[in-house]
Order: sequence, then C-alpha cells, then structure tokens
Amino acid sequence: MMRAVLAIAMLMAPGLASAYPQFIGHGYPSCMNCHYNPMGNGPLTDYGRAVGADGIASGALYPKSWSEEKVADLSGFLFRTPVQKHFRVQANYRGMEMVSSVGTPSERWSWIHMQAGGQLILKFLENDRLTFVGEVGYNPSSNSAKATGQDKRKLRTREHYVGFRITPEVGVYAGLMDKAYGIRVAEHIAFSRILPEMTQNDQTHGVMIHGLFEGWEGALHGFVGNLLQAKDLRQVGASAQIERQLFTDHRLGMSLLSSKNDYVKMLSYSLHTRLSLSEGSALLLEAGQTERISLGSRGDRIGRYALLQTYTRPVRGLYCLTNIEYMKSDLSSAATTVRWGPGIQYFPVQKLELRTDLYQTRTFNPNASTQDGWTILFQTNVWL
Amino acid sequence: MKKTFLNLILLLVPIQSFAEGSIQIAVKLTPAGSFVAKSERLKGDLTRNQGEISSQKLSVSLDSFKTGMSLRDEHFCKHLGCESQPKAVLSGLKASGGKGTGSLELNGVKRDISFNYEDKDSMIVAKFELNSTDFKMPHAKYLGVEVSDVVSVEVRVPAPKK
Amino acid sequence: MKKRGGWVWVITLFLCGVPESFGADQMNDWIKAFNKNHPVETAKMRNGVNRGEEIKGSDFSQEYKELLYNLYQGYASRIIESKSLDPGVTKSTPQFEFFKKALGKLEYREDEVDSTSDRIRSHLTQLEEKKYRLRWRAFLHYMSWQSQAALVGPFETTSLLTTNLGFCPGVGASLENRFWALSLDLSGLYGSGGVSAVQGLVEYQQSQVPALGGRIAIGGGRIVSSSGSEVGLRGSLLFVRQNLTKPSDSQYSVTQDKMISYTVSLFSRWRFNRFYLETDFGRTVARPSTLWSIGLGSVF
Repeated sequence: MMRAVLAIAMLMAPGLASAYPQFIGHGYPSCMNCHYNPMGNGPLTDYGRAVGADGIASGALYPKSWSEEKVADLSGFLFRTPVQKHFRVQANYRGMEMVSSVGTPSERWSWIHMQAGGQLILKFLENDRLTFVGEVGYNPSSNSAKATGQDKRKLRTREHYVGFRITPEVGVYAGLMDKAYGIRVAEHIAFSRILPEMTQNDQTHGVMIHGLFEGWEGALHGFVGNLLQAKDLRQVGASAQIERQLFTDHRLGMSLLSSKNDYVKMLSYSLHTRLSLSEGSALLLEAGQTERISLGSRGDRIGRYALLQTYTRPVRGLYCLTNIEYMKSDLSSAATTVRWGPGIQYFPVQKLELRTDLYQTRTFNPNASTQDGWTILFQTNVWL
Repeated sequence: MKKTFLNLILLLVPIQSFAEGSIQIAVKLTPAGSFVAKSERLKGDLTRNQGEISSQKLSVSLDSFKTGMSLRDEHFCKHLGCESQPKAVLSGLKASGGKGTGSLELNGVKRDISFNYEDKDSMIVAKFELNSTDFKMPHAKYLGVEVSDVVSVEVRVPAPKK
Repeated sequence: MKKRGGWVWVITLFLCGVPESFGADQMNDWIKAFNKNHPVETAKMRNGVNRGEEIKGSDFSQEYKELLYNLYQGYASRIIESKSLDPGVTKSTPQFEFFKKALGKLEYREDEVDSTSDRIRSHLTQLEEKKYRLRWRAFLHYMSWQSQAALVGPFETTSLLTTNLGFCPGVGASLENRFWALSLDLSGLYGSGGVSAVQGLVEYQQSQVPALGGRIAIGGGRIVSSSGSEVGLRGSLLFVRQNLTKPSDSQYSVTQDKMISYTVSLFSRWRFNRFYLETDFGRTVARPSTLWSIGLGSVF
C-alpha cells in the first residue's frame, strides 16, 4: 500500500517555487528576508532575488566586466530593476525528466511539467507591511486521476493570501498557504512531507500568525481546508511551529499539527534542527510521527519518519546534497523503508537551477528481502 | 663580532609568528538573519607594562572585511566610508583590569570608545558595541532588508607576555 | 675587519639564504649598514620594536628609514620566492616582521609596506594551507548492504537476496592539508540480515542471520569549507562472513557470494570541531549491490 502511495507521489508534480531552508548555511536562518511568505516557499522578495543572483548563483558565466551590483540589478522580473515599489510579478517553470524503475524491464522515462505558472505580488505601506500574493499555474494530473477521469482542472492556485505585519516582529497572513509545520524542504516526495500530508497540493485556507523575535521564530496556523476541495475532504484544524536560535546560526525547532475531515483525523508532531556549517554548507534534520485515525472504519495507523538532508558547497553555485530518509508508515508493520538520495544542484546563472538526484529505496522486512528501487531525476527550474 | 651576531639575532627574534590581529563585526539584519564581517588584517601591536596594556595605533583596511558574499563585501566597505577614509584607526589605547578606552576614527569621525577585554596569555580579546550613527553613517538598507545600526565588535590582538 | 666581514656574510647566508631579487651582495651591504653604520638609530629602533618603547620618526634619518624599507622588501622577496615553508622562510619571517613593525612605528611608506605585507601574508597562508598533516580518527558507522546467494535445487536455481544492517567501529588516518585529504580507514563489522527468495516457486526465508567482517577503505577527498566539510571518493574492500542455513531437504543447497567484495563509494563529511558526521553511498564492483552508511567520528 505504501509503495503505491510512494509511486503516486513520485509521479505527481511539486508545487510552488521552492523553499530552500538549507540557505541557513549562508547566514539566513529565517525565510523572511527572501520570501514574502515568512515560512518560506512562494515568490521571492527583491532582496531574495538579489541574494539568488549574487550569493547563490555561480558568477562563472557572467562577463568579467560585470560588477556584483550590476548582477543584482538584473535580478528583477525579465532582468530589469524594478522602478516602482508596489507591484511585482514572477513566473516559474519547473520540469523534470524522471527515470523510474531503473535497470528493470519496467524502466520508464517521462518528462513531467511540475510547475508552470505566475505569481503576482502587491505591496504597500512602509517596509511592505501589507502584501497581497497570488499564484496560479498549470495543474498536471496524476496518473491515477487521469485513469479515473477525476481532477480535470488545468489551472490551479496553490497560494493566495494577504499578509500584514502588525509590527516588525508579528504578522498575520490569511488565505491559501502551506501549513506551518516542519522543515519546508523543496522535495515534495520526502517522507517528512508525505506522512503528515504536507505535499504539493496540501495547501489550506486559514489564518496564520507569525512571530520573529530575538532568538525565536514561530507560527500558529488555524485552517479550514482548501475551499476549492469538496467539503467532506477538507482537513480542518491547526498547526504550530516554533524555532529557537542556537548560538548565532543554528536553529532547533518543534512542530505540531492536528486536523480532521469527515473520514480521517490526523495528529503529527516533530522535532527538527537546521545547522549552518558556513560558506553554504548546512545540515537539516527532522524526525516526527503521524497518527492517522480513520473515523467510522478501520485503518488506524501511526507512522514515523526522519529526514537528514546534507549540503556542501564546493564552489559558488554548486551544491552537493544527500537526502537520507527513514519511514515506517505503520508502526504495527514489520517493514521499514530507507531512501538514500545523493544529488547535485547547480545554479549556473541567476534564474536558472539544474538539478539531478539519484534515489535508492531499500525496504527492511524480517519476512522478505527485496531488491532496491532506483529512480533518477533531472530537474530544470527557470524563473523570471 | 659575536656580540653583533647576537644583537642581530636578538633584534630579530620577534614579534612571534606572522599572525596579525583580527576583527569580527556581527551585524543583525531586519527582518531576520545576520552576518559576520571578518578581517584578519588588523595592524599594530600592544605593549604590556606592569599590568597595563597600551597601543599607539591599531588600524584595519576597511576593504579587507569579508562577509561571505561579494556584493555584501562591497556594500559593507562603502557603508563604513572606505571611499573617503580607507582605514579605521584606533589610537591612544589604554587598558587594565579588564577595561579599556581608546579613540576610534571611522568615516572621518573620531570618538572615544570603551571596551571590555580578556587577557588570554598571548592574545588580548576585546569586545564592545558600536552605533554606526555615532560615526555619521547613514542607516543601511538594501532592497527592503535593513541593517541594525548597533553592531558587536570583537578584536583579537597578539600581545605575548614577556 | 675582513674576517668580521666574512663572518657577517656566513651568518647572513645561514640566517636568510640568498634573496635572489635583491642579490646577496646587496642584502649583505644593507645588513652591514644596519648593524654598523647606524648604531644609535638601530639601538633606538630595537628598543622600540622589542620593548614597545615610544619612538619618533623625527629621530631617524631619511637614509635609515630607506635602509629599513630596503631590508623589509629584501626579506619579503626571499619569502615570496619560496614554494614551501622551508627553513629559509622560517628564518626570514621574523626578520621581515621586525622591519615591518619598525616601518609601522615610523609610518614610513605605509601603503607600500601594507601592500607587501598583504602579499606575504597571503603567500604564507597559501604555503601553510598546502602543508600536509597526519590526523587520526575513530568512528562508528551504521551500515547497510545487500548480498546475493542461490538456492540450488534438482530442477531450478532460485536467487536469494540478503538485506543487512550492521555497525562498523573503526579507526583511520588521513594526510590532509586545507584542500585535499587522503585517507585510510579500517573497521570491523557486526550485523545481521534477512534473506529470502527473490522470485520463484521455492520458498526460502531466514531472518537475523549474523554477519561478521571488516572493511578497509582508501579514499581521497576535497575539503570544501574552512569548517572542514569534505566530499570524496573511496574504494574499499569488504569482507563479510555470513552463513545461511542449509535447507533440510538434501536435494537443495545454498551457494553464497564470495566473502570479499570491492566497492566504490561517494562520501561526505561535516566537522563540528573534533567531531564529525559522515555519510557514504556506493556500489559493489561486479555485483548488483549498493552499500550505504552513516556515522559519527572524532578526530585526534
């Protein structure tokens, strides 16, 4: 059953322009500097674009005559420096060539359009205290949805909200957003996102309060499910995430999420840490558990997961990463899954990301020994 | 001749290693984040005399600070006024009993400062806070991210005990 | 007098080598002038630098200041020409430092002195970073690997697969500088695995089959940050002894892979002061098997 869930998840497309929590390695423990969404993900602020151009992307392909200031000036939409303060646009495309069941007779190559959409940002008041963010994009159907004729929508919005910073420390955000929980890694297929149902289509309408204080950051999120979804399926509940700054650059955090719909009640909790190892290197670690209680039928289970994500940056623009994941989808089951995923992420120039990942999945079951599963991903991400 | 030889040796026995002093400036960003600007080109030396530590002059080139990002290095240097005064100079330094004072010249402005220090045998580690507005530096902001006016400074200077 | 001059020459060579850019003769003349031609100024300068006494630029002649500057640049040349931290560099550096401080106190030709100082510092840092050091370490890894076997019967052969987990305590040594590291690691292996038939009609299944062995690994890595983060490649010899139970039916027998296998893997290491986290992911040569490990270690 879990394999089927995994297979479906692998075939689905991830959502928004991704959050990169590993950039704590560059001295940015909070997502707020670079993203309008204080929990990360979504469109980049002007500062985030400039950091992406100057600090993240390789400078090797720029003409030698270009100064860093010029490179930053070209980080705006369509390589222009914004001339007004209130209106921003961002467009994204993310595509992936996926090779599944590598080395088996059922090996399959497929190109998946993961994201093709645009974001509109309106911002007002001093220091952009009031923001409106909206996103709409192409909605690729999963294979199962195609097979059953469901989910015919071709456009989808994964984020639209209004945000207001009451003070520089406290802000309120209302609308459709990802739930505040755990480390918001870019890999939507991560076990840490699958088990607590935090994947690319799990956004919810709600109200989030975000706080950023000396040494602390956190969010409290109350939500009523995705209003575009059938009412009986909407997960209603609340979540909370809090992080404590350790020394100057590291973070230690915990999360809690409780929600229910007419069929399922869920409770997830986790601990996590993000460690900055300087010069772009970072370690992210999250471990959690999800209790899933079926209302009115059988099928209760408690699942456990862990994620270790490692990053090293040999040269500017190039990141060597490894995802090491653990999952026990049902504690009453004997089977455990460990997935190992070395990868390379390269930003040759600003607005372009190239990435390749190799995933090896191994199942540990005292009653059976099975061959490892292999998947290779080649991703391209372009944003304007 | 032997005396000359010995004098030559004595003359030249140092000053220890090549290690110069270093400075770290911790800067906070708003809404979030921070960075540390580091320079390992602090010039000048300290003298010990009966429990008191002093120095005629310590200086650092403002373009020697590294913040982890090239563009930020440039902005940092310009913000400190390196185009008009390439060096920050601390003169008339006197310290004893864990506290000291000196006169800091930065961005064309000279002000007295005080600091706490620890004597770690061959190294003096001094810490203090600076408010950039005291040195007539404008409030720094870049693309919506602000830099705190108050920064924490840590200075390490070799000062071997005789 | 001639004898003295000869001794000065020998001492100079002994102390400083021959600075090619300025010529040995030129340096010797300057050193002689420093020692003999300006005794009062030299004594004042010595006290000023070594004892921290206050000195005034006006107490020194222009000729003397220029002499100090020439000696400063002369020793700088000697250092900059060196390709390693040889004895010549070790001896020239204190002299260079002395004249740098002297010129600093006189505030004479500051920009040129600073510029040369920066070059020398950068050069010495590069030489220091190139120097290899031997480091020892101890570690404990948690490893997983798979091994193949075959259940041979009268009519068919069934593939068996064992999936193992185990602990590898070990020690290692690496020769490393700031950028590169070469390492050798030795570890023991203790674990167990579950085996079952991959496919076919015959059933064979066993769990927690003990495995005992060891691993020798040689690797090379690139140190990518000042904190010591490292990525590299490693080749290892894995020796595992694991005996699967023979079926009770005498018509069937079990043949296992050889106990020794060779793997090539990619490793990464992140240092936290003395301690480090390491991951390893690789493939067995000539067999379809993947090995991975994660562990903690300490450097001595």
